[in-house]
This record gives sequence, C-alpha cells and structure tokens, in this order.
Amino acid sequence: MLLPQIALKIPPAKVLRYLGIKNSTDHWPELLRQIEAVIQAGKVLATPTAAITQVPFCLEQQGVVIGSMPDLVLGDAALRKISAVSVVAVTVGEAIEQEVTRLFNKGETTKGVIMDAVGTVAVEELSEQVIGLAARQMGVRGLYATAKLGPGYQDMPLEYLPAVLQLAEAWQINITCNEFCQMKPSKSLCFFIGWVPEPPKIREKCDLCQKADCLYRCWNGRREEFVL
Amino acid sequence: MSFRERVQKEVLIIDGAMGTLLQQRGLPGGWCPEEWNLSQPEIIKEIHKLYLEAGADIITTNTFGAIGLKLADYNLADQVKEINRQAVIIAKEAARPYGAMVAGSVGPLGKFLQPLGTMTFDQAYEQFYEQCLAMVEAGVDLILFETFGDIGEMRAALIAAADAGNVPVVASFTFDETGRTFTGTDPETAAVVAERLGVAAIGVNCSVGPRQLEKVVQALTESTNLPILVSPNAGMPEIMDGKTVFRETPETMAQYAERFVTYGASILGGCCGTTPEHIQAIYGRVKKLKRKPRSKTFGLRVASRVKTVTIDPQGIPVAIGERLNPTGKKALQEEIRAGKTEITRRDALAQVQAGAEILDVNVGVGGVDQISAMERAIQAIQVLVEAPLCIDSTDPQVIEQALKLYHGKAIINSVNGEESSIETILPLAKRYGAALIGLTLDEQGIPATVQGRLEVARKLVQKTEEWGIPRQDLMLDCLVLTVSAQPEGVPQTLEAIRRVKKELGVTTSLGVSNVSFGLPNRGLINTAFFAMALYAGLDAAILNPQDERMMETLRASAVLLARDVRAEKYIAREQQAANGPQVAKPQEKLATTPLEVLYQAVLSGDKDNVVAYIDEALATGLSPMELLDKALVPGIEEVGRRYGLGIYFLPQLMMAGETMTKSFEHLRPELAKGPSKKAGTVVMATVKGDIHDIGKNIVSVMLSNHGFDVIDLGKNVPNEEIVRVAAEKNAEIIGLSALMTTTMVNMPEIIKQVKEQGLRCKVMVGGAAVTEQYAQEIGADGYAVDAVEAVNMVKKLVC
Repeated sequence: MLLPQIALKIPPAKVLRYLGIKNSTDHWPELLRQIEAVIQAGKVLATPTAAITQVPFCLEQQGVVIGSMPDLVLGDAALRKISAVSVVAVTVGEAIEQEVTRLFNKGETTKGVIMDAVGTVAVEELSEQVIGLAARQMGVRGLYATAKLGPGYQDMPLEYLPAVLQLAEAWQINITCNEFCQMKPSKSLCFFIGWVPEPPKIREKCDLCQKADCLYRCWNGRREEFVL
Repeated sequence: MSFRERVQKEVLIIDGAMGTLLQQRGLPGGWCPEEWNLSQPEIIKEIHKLYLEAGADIITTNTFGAIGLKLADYNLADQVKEINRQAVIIAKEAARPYGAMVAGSVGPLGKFLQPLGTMTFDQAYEQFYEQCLAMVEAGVDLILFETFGDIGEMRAALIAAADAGNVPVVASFTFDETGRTFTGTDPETAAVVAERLGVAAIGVNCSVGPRQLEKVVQALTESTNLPILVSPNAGMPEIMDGKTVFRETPETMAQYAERFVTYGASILGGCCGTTPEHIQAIYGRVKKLKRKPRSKTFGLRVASRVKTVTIDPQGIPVAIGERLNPTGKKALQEEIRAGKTEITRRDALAQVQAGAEILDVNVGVGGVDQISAMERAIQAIQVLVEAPLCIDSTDPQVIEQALKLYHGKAIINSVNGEESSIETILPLAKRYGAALIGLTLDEQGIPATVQGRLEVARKLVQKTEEWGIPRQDLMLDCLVLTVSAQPEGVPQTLEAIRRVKKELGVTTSLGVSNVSFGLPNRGLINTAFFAMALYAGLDAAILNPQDERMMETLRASAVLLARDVRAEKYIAREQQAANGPQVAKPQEKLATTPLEVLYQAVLSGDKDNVVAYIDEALATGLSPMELLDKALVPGIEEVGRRYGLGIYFLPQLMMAGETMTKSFEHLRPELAKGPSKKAGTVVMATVKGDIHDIGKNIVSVMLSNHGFDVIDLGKNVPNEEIVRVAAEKNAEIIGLSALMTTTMVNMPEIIKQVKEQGLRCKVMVGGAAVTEQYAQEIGADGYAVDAVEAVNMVKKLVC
C-alpha cells in the first residue's frame, strides 16, 4: 500500500537527543530557538511518504523465510510464533539533505547539523507512525509488532537491501540504493516488521522500568503516538 | 414504524457477528463470505433468525465486503448488485415475521484515500455508490457503514449513500485503546463531520472490547444529540491455537451495554466474537430501559481530521489565519504559478504556532488552474497542521474540489445574498457537510445601513435552513468598509454585528484589516477596531495571527468580555510566556578585558557580536595575532575540551565554530599583512560510494577553525581523485570518512595508493562504521571518533 503523504511529528526532545544533548534545561536560549526554527523548516521541507505491504513467508528451521526470496531469512527467535510479515519503506525525501548541504556551504554549520538531526528524527518518526498505523489494524486480529528487522538491523547483512527495497516496492516512493547499498534519499528506511500474537519481550523490560516518560517506552508492542 | 421513528422512541438491539458464525458453519478460509448470499442463502437466513430469536430489532446483511474493490479479489466484481440484492432479500425474509429492520452493512475499502493513500475521492465514491444503490433498490431499511477507521473514507461513503437514495444511514467508526480511529480522529470530530453529512445515528464498533470503549462512548454522547450505536467486540482478540478468540462473556457484555445506555447510547449490539447468546443477554438487560434524552447546544463546529474547533457565541473568539492568500504577496503568487507549496506549508505552520485556530486558504492567482492549485494546497496543509480549514474562493468548482479532498468539516468562505451565490454555494455546503461564512451583501452591493445588512443576513439564514443546513453552521460577516473613505461605515458595521447576533442567534466573523486601507500605521487602526468589534460581539476574525498586537487584543478582550471564563486561557498563556524556555547559560566568569570578552564570545557561540568585539579589541591596540592566540584559539580549544567532557554538545560546537569562522573572515585582511602561520593542509573526503557527509563536514569546519587549510572534496569521491589532490596540494593530511561497511573498504585502497606514490602525507580515518581496530588493520596513521578528536589527531600528526 502506498502512503503518499503522511503527517509528521518531529519532537524537539528527540532532535536534542540525536544532537547528543542529554539535558535540555541547561542550553543556550539561542540554540533552543534555532532548533525550534529548524524543526519548523524541516517540516516544510519534508515530504514524508511510505510503502507498506505484507509478504508471504514460511517458517523453517533457520527462521522466517520470506516467500519469494529463499535466501532472505529473518532469524530472530521472537519470530517463532509469527503470523504475518510486513515490509516497510519510508522516506522524507531529498530536500532536507539538500538543505543540510546548502547550510554547510553557506557556513551556517550549526543549522546544518540541526537540520541533519531533524531529518534523522523525521524519518525515524515516520517509520514509527507507519508501524503504528499497521499495528492498529493488526491489533484487531490480536497481533503485535516486533522490533524492526532487516538489512542494517540485527545481523542481516546490508547486501540484502536491494532485494528488500524491491519487496517493499520502494520505487513507488523514489527510494533507490547504489551498489554500496546506500539509500537515496539518504533519509530513508527499509525494514521488515513481524506480527506475533504476544506482546514482544521488550514490553516486559519497559514494564519493569520506572522511567514512565521514556521516549522509547513500548506499550504492548503498539505505538501510541500515532496522531495525524 | 421506520428506523427514524423507532430510534427516537426506544432502545434498539442490533445483531452480533456474522463472520464468526459463518466460520462455525463451514465457511472455508479464503472463501468470499458474501458469495454465500448466492450459494448458501439458507445458512445466512439461519444466522439472521438466531439473532432475531435473541431479540435483535435490527439485523445486518451479509454484505460487509460486498463492494466492487473487495469482490474483485474473488473475481466477483461484476456481482456487486446481485450479491447485495440477494443479501437484502434474505434478511428481509428473515426479519418480516419479527417486525425487525434490515441494515445494509458496508465495510471500508481497505485502501486509504488521498492524501494518506492513493485512492481518489471520486474512486471511493463510485465504489460506495454502487453498493448502496444495490441495497436501496432491494429495499433495505437503513445503511450501516461499520468499522470505518478513516474519516475521509467515511465522508465519501456518506455522500455516496445520500446520492443513492433517501434511506437512513448510520456511521459507525472503529476506535482503538487510545480513543482515536486508525487515522487519528477523535470521537467528537467523528461526530461533527458525520452529523452534517445527514446521518441518522453515529456509532462505534469493533477493534476493542466494551471496557476499552467506555470513554469513547461518553465522548460521543457528549458531542452530538444524534442516537448512538455501540457494538463492541467480545473483548480484546487473542490468538489460541492459531485462531482469534474473544473472551468476554454475554453477561459482561450486557452489563456494559446497560452502562452505555445510561451514558446516552440507544442502539446496542456486538461485533467480532459476539454470538446470539451475547445479543440475548444484552436484550434482557437493556431493552426495557428508557433512552436518555440529550439536547445539548453546540456552537459552530468545524473540524480537521484530528481536531474540532468550536466558534461559540459565548466562548473565546477565534482567529482565522489570513496569510494563505496570494493577494499582494508576490512570492506566494509565484509559488502557486510554479505548482509548489513550500511557502504555503511554512505559513500554515507559522500561523498555527502564532495562535490561529482555523486557516483560510485562497489560491486566487490570475491565469492559474485554480482547481489544481487548491488541490495542492489542501493536500499539503491538511497533513501538516491540525487546524481546520476555511476554503476561500469565488469559483464554486474550486470550492467543490477542495471540499471533496478535505477530510474534515471545512468552512466555505463565502456565500452572499445574491441569488446566484445562494444557488451555487448552499448545495455544496449541504452535500459536503461544510459550514459557511455569509457576507451581508447582495445584487445591490453592501447595504449602507444596519437594517439593510440585517435583511440580507435574515435572507441568508432562511435560505440556509431551507437547504437543511443548521443555522449554527452559518457565520455572518457584516463587512467593514474602509474608514478613510467611508468614516460613517464603521459604526454601522459594529451595530450590525450586535443586532445580527442578538436577533438571528448566529455567530459573526469579520475580515478586520479592510478597515485601515489607505491610512498610515494600519496596525494601530486595525487593533482599535478589532477591540470595538469584539465588544460588539464578534466571534471570529480573519486576521494575521503573526501580528502580536492583534492576538493580544483578542486574548485581552476575551477576558474583559467574560468570554474567557476566570481568565483561565489568558493566565495559562501569560504564565507559559513568562516561564517559557528559561534556560540558563552555563555559568561563565564575568568577562572584563577585551580578550576575555572575545574568549567568552567563542564559548557562547556569539557570532552576531564577535565582529564588534574584535573591532573593540583592535581599537585598544591589541594585534590581530594576539586576538587569535590569546582569545579565539583558546576559546575554541576550551569548547573542544567541554565537548569531550560532555558539557557541550554538537550544536554548541558548531555555534562556536561559526563564531570562529566569522572572526577569521574579519581578521583575514589584517592577518595577511603579518607573517604566515599556517597549521597545515588537510584534504578531506567521504570515500567512493558513500553519500553521507555530515560528519566529514563537521570535521572540515573544526579544522578550519583551528587554522588548517582544508580542501574539502565532498562525498562519493573516487580514490584516485583524493590521492591526486593530496599530491598536487602537497597536503600534510588526508582525512577520510565512511558511514558504512560497504564503503569503508575504499580506505585501504587509498592508503595503498598514497604509499605507492611515495606521498609524505598521513591518512586519518573516521566515520560511523570505522573503528580504531579497523584503522590499525588497514594501516591508517590516525583514527578519530569525533570532530574534536579529529582536530587533536591532525595536530598530533602534523607535528
């Protein structure tokens, strides 16, 4: 399914985190103003799109074998009870990375690094929103999302990326990759999500943790923040 | 008695799951359930009878997926009419002896509409129209759109149903545990959008069990006076032995149904996992209960997909952002001509941030395809901001296209008292469920007197109601004339606002800034007039929300006119402004001497003032080299030290770097007069195949700020090119960056070439995928994990 325009949230807290800033209370006001302004500019520049589709699979000894690609195996132990597999490609387009280059060329390096972080957060948030959207639909069937799987995640070699992009029909949203398996636009992600009948184990970890406001807190394997 | 009559008088019971019972009767996995209307009609009828025996007043046809797009999966797309017709016939035969009603079930398409998906409004409309028409022709008592998770799709469905025939329609959404639909719609917004599209009842079904639906049901009953349907699943789905099971018992379901009736729901049933036993229990518990009457009054409510904004005659006046209008804005005109939306999106965000609750959208540029321009604007804005939109055009076709695309309840700006306007705009507002701004002018122009404007206003209210549009969905603009040309006009406008509101009971709006054309200091006139208009009772103003004076006037007037009760919003806003992002700079020693001032400027990234500080320092007799050696370089070194300790972070490093760059640029002419003191030449590059260069760019900036000559070759640079430039420029250092394992393999190849050519330069490597161990393995001279380490490493290597 092609999702050609998705509403995007870019939480300032996450941008700060990607900039390596651990505590937002003791920073220069000017810097915080710049971050806020760059987030606004990033929202204007971003063209968030996604492609998501379910793929056939079978369970073999070595893991989940993606149907049309016998070499493509997801070996995560959590997938033994898998009921469905989705492949997702998301991108926020090229404008943000072009703006990063422009800002560096212009000598506005602070804005450049902030814009780069905004692009990274934007594509991560986008992927979470798409997973959240799918999770709500799969939730009706009693299924929960696993963590992201695929090239660049866990142990799967990056060389599988072209095949996974093909499966995701990422060409629909203009994501390509070069011979070194680098995606273009660079602010893009491509991954599998498994759907299992039990909340993933990470939930238990989160249940034990007392940091209720953690950005990465996982609630029953669903993403709660999906608001358009 | 018809559905419309019965639903006003009694609590109705609607049936439970169809699919669950079909599976129990042997429906094979992967088989089209709706096909059984043709091949297994007796089984369908038997299931209907089970629910009727259990007490159902309404049974739903086996047509949830009997729509062309879904039937096409089973090669049955040409059977839409027959499958739906047969389903209604079966259900009616079953229902007749029980005096029950038949609801034609229609499910969602399974595809998102634009802009979220690729399906157009017209494509969705055609699908729903075909199915609804088949059911209407077969004599269905009502149509039930159920399990809809997207408000845009529901809009298309409801409009199609209205066109298919005069049959009552129920719009039932599916909400999850967060209380929103799949695409983010809250219960109030669902109600606001659906009720203006002519539904007889609004509901909630599927997704979750009754426990999770309590808040949703309460919110729905508080958001509309229409009857409410509640059909939860029999609990949350669980997978047992590969099958989805639901565990809620009939008795528990019945207890919740009773609670839902006390909230105001009056059509109770079940969805996935519910059986005739559940329906029987619900019947026993609620059938004899009395409906809870609801008669809440609402203001003018408009909605985006995710948010409702109320313009309340007693509430806080609302700012409608006026900046998405190309009149007098050359850049926006150019953008609309070029088919782009960058300024549009930027201004939309900025206006919302400045306090606009609704955005006016106008694309009126001469010689432009305004339908396409409006499409682009609506699609771009509605995924970007939560504020509802006001569609501003004089062309009915442009308005219609915008209303098709908009996944909410928009305001049309505008209709007026001219017959041609009434005849074209009111049908659009009715069909697409929009509110209206009504201008008090007619074929004779703007009436000069209060009475004249009141008469036009009265006519507009009457015509609006004749079209079946509720009076509260019309907001009247009493039009202000330019005070410089017609000074007597302003009092007329203010009096007209007062009387329209009092005598017609509708809300009022105004384009405020018209008043000041031709006068100097227009903002002053606008603000004063705005305060007067608010005192006269104005409820909404089309204005520039980035004009802080206007927004302050709005907020303050709301307090003074008791429209912001206990000044709660005002106080909250002022407290927020006062407490704001109060962030303290790290404590620094107070700078007293010119060198200390400069040092502190670098530490605090004060690039705006550093040039002035340099000039002041030079004026005291200090030399440029002294400024460099005793203030600027120690400053940037301290920044690097703080970065290394985790006191400073990357943006602060960059801000300090920009300050240094600016200092160097300013001092360069003076420094050039003295002896050369270059630290060395560094060739920087991201290796072949690698298109990520942010890290390399940061290192380049930092090296420049430490006095190195940096030749930055960019990204994806061929190995030979890097070595060639290093040789040509006699570089001391080559700095290589790679993000990924697939590209860092070029690094040893470059090192090999450097050695083969006998170059004196050393090679430093870094990047996300590169480790110190890898650097040693490939024979690199240095490795750095970040920009500060890179500077230190280069300094070490050139010694």
